[in-house]
Amino acid sequence: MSSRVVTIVVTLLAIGSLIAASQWRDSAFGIYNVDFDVSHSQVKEQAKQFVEINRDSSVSEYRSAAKLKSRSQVQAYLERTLGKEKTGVLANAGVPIWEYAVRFYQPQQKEEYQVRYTPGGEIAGFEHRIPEERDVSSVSQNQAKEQAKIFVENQTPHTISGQWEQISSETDDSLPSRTDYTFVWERDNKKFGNGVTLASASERIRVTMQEEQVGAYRYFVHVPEAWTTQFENQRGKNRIANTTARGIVLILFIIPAIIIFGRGYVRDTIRSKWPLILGGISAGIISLQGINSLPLVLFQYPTEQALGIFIAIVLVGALVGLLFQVGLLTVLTGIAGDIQQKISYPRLPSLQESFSWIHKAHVRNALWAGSVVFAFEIGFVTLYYALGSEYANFWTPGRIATTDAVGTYVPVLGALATGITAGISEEVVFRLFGISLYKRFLRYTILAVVFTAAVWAFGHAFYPQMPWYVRGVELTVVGSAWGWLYLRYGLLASVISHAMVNTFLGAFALWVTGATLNAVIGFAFVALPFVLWIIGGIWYRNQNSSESVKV
Amino acid sequence: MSQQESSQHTDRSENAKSSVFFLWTMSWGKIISVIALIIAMGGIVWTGVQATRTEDTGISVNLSEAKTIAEKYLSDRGVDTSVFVRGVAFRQQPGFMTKAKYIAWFGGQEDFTNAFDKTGWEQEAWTIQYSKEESQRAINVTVSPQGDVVKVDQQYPEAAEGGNLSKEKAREKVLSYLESERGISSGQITEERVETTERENRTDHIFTYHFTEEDWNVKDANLGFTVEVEGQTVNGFSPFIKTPEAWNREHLTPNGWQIGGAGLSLLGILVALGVGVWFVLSGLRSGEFDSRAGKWAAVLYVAVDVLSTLNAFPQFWLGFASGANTSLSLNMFIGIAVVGQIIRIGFLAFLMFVAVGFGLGVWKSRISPRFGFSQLYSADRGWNIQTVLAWLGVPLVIGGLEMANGQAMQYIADKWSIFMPFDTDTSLLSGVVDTYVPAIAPVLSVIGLVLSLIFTLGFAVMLKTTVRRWWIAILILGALVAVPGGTFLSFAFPLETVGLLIASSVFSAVIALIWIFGVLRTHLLAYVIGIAELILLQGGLNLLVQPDTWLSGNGGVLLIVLAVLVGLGVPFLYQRGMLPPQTEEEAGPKDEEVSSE
Repeated sequence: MSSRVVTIVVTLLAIGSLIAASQWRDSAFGIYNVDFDVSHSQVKEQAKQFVEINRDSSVSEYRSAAKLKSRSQVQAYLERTLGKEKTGVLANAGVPIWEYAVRFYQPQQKEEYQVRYTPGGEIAGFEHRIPEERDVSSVSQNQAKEQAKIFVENQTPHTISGQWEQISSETDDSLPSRTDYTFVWERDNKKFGNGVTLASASERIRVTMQEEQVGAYRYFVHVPEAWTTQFENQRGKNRIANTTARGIVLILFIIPAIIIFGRGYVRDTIRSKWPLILGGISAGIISLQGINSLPLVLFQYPTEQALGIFIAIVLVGALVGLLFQVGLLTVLTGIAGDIQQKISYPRLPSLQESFSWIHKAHVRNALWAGSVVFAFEIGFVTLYYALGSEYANFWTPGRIATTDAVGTYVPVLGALATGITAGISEEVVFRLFGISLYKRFLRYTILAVVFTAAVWAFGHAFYPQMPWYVRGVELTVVGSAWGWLYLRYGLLASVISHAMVNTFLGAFALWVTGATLNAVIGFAFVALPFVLWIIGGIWYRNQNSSESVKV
Repeated sequence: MSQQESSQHTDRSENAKSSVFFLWTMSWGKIISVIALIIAMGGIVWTGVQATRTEDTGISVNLSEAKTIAEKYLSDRGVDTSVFVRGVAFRQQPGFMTKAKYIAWFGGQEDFTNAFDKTGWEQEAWTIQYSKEESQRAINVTVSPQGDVVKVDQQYPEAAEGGNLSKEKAREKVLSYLESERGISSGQITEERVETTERENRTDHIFTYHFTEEDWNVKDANLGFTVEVEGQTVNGFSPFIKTPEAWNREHLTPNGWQIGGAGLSLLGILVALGVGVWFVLSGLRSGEFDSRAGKWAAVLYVAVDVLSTLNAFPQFWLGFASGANTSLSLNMFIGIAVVGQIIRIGFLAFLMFVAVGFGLGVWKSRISPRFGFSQLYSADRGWNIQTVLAWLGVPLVIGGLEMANGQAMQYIADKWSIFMPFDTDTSLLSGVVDTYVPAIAPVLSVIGLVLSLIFTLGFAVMLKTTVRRWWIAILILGALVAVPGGTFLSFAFPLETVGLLIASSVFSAVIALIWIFGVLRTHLLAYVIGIAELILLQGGLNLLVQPDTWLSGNGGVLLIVLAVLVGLGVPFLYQRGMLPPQTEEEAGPKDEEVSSE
């Protein structure tokens, strides 16, 4: 078979892998068919109206921030106890597993509002923070309780009666000018759609009354403590794996990189141009993403501080982090990796040679190979979880059809930033530097590839997947594939493949959220290497044919 | 060796030989040295007398007594502590700084002491924590340095059985408990908060009170406490000081000036770090990195750190009770902790390798290949008393200057009514008294510190010998001086306080820099002795002044060990021929070659 036929067959297989992945997607990950009746921007308007109607005061002077919040413990409990199908039923019935939270605040002012909604647009929480010295018309505890019940009945989908049992009350007289009352009600065994219950969990409603007015309302699922203890114990194995992998990265990757860099400096064998360029690209994108995600960061803004100071602290913190992350990870290990690769794999293209014009054979090969491996990996990961959840009790949290990225200025930038920065820094550390270094110590290339892939993979063990080794095994296979790509086609191929996978996942989340334009930009970026491969081929052929004409 | 290098080396050797130390002692001779030492010793004795702690202000119970007190308290209440994992630490109470700042701000040190005496809420106290694996059951007992159980916090699983009391019955029980066990009558307090929670198998109540009498409060801060009733039993008592919310919001976060200053300090750190990396790389390239010394330093550091960690083992189990850790099995917790410790020690050992390899390398190559024992003693001349006194005395003079700095700051603060934070009675003892052998803790920490500070010395050597342009040197020094100022900016003190603290820290930094640059004209040993002496003296004195016999005994032993090491250890090693050459003849061909040239 000619190489052209092989290329066509493999490319078609890769496309087939992507199509198959789209078929298995639901059984692999469980994408919830949760109805998102409100969008990120609509929810702000809805919350504004809620505050204005209930408080009879305008928040138009206030700044606002919105965030999608996931109650991961509740999700884990429901999925692991009831399964994803029933969890989906509960989410659609208004059980707060995911919430939109909207905050109205003013810098250096304690008074602020927060409103939470379920994806279906039902109110799941409300808070009106006021200074402790604020005076409010006084009522007795019983009157306050009655007011609380009225609020719940009129403003929320619930009614405190019958099945709801009061389990807690608190009277707070410590405030200078008023008394606050808090009541908690609980309901067990409520049957939601299709008779699905919350198993041993219960629904709770907590209302805090600032004398006669509602200070806070919360509707939430209380997960049994015994289950949480057992779950955290199981998660302990994930923590051990993650801590160990990160320790290995520090001791066996970063420190040797520093030593090799030092030696290279002494022997004057350092080539810093491309590590610096790659570091610069990462730094630029991370900085842009830092600014891009400010609307989400502002949700955490402590109003005791001036807003400008808070933003300055966030930016300076990000800058210092950037310096170490990019400086230490990408530039330093890049330089050390380039030196090490020359010793272990002298025939592989250097960093400088890797990043070249697209008509050159090794670049075209890298573009093609990176693209097809990306497609195979998407197929593999989907199949892995589909089979694992069916036959091996794998658990990975179900996904929802929205992402918090839509709350940023340019949603697609998050996906691009994750793709490019992780693609560059992790491939430089684990493939360029790691494989080249450990080939010397482990003697066999295959051992070096699997070892570095496993260290990288188990560094992701903090992800929620269980049992503890699931994520590690999955990514060891993926990392080994990138290791093979690196050894066969050079670093560019593995960087491309890695960046494509990460960007694709981000773009896909935007697609299901309905941020179509952003998703299309993300998908276009994913498709770019493949397109460049085609353009590079045409360029190469044209150049060759013009040279033949000259001859 | 080139002619120029030879002459430089000769100059340095001569310099090192002729100069005893960098201060005036160098030229003013023996008498001044002796006078300076006498003054410094007087200062230390005076400080020691000032620092003496009584039964009321010092630590009267040691680690094992604190454990016994906590266990007796719990066993008297029917709790079997043998089924728990126990962790012990002597540490500052959570939220202490906030409260301390408010009270000190408005009331000064006297009100501050009164407030904490009244609540029994000691600033530093023994924390004895009991936790169970794979369970939410935990107990935290706080024992004051004087041996009183000042705080008890018990946590039960939400499904644990315990019975039910009505709010009124629970209140009666609480008031009776306060009267009999805490000596607080109902007339002294007002109930300000009550929370009742009906659980599956019991009812819990939390009552919060504050003291009504005026002299129990400092300005608008209320002294109060919470009492917890789980089921039928009073299980928790926690005193607290509540500061006004508006004040907290205004004063507990740094303002723009402080953030700006912190940014400047951060810039200083980055500049110093960048210059440090540049120096290390330069040292490497010129072949001055002493990797053998670096490896030994790393090995020594690992040994010291392991020993230090084992000595501090009582604190180890505290980590088990924090966050979700008790959900883990004990083995799993140990696994995570051990892996974490290995990573930490491994990384720090690497840093020590770099610090010492670089520092010692450039020192030996650019200042002197010897450590400086010959300055103390030589076979032909015997003991050089001037050098011995200077080496021992200069660190004390440095310490004296620091004390003068503190006194001047206090004087300025008093004169212009500037609020100043102050040390508490038992400051600096956390991490020392809560080890198996407190005397070892400062010794171990001093080794780590000396090793890492050798980097500073290498930095200074490089600065002196590499940077020729004065303005670059000034910039680097400026960056170094700016670094300590930022330490104070994380506290939201008033600006004049921050200004004073920065001025003081800059003064300290300048003293340190003068010292370090002075050391460049003498020998490495002087620096090591100086650092060790200052820290061990402080650590030893802090322990010595405590009323508890075990702790003061440890302090005494530490000071004796220090004296023996400095006064007897060095000459003994020398006389046994275990130290590097001391005389010019013994120093080896390098020096002879230099002399002959």
